[in-house]
Amino acid sequence: MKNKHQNKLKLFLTKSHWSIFVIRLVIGGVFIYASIDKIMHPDVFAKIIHNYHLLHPGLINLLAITLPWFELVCGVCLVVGYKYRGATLILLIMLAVFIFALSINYARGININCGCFSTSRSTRTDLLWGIIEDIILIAGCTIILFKSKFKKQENL
Amino acid sequence: MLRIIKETIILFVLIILIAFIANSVSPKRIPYIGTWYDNRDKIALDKPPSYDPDYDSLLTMEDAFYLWKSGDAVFIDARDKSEYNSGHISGAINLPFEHWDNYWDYVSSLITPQTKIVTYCGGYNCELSVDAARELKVLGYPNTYIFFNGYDKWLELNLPRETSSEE
Repeated sequence: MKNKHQNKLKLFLTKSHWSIFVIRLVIGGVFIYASIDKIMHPDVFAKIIHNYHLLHPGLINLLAITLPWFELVCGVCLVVGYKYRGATLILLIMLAVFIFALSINYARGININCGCFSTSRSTRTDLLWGIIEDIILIAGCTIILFKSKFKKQENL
Repeated sequence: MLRIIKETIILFVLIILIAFIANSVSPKRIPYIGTWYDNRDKIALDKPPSYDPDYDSLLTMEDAFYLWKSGDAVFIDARDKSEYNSGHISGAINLPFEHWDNYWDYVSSLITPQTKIVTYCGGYNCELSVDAARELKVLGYPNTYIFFNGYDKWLELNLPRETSSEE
């Protein structure tokens, strides 16, 4: 019995476990932080989405209402470890869409408020930096997904 | 993999439900279908995305320049202080829309309800000038005009600008 607990503790303290836990915590924290301001100001966030010139007008409010909750719930899932692989997959898809939207407007050369972390209407937003941030987050999410898969195979 | 997809679907449905419920009880709720105009193919139009022809008075580059040259109007830079400090239209005063209350006492001492006011910011989708102009109209300054994307146009024509140092 004591041995079993020791093994569990050993597994818990393994380097890979901790690194994944830290990545989950960081990415989850980033998305929770990013969601708060958008949930507080859905009207301003809808305006930011409209400024992207990408979405059909009928879908703008629906996205402004749902997207911040996707960020919040998935962020919480990552932090607490509940259905975190599903949450990671959702975040991966979202990040890919974010990169697509930011890249299009970067290529168009238009200066928009990214709305990535805040609905604050600052005039200049470095879209390129937004893209780089999203790529870093994608890398983190990919590690979480692959490592969790690897762990499952190891258990078999 | 199947388990991940299953988790994803459960979360997806759950989140949609939470979002809809939260929006329906939130004091800041917005309608599910908004009244936005379709701007997907209007990138080239030099108008603010939320432009309202019945309410917003837009200035052309020529009109803005004429007003600036004649000294008949007060130019208000609605951008952040750091952007204003790094370069603004000569003679313009700073009224960052985001920090309105911190600047309003000073700015309001320089204008009267009869003053012609020109608000500007920079960038195609910067709507700070629009927001500031609307706020000024509400506060009783009807002669307020929007010089949309003003600073970028001013820069392009290399018209007089000045910088300010940090206080």
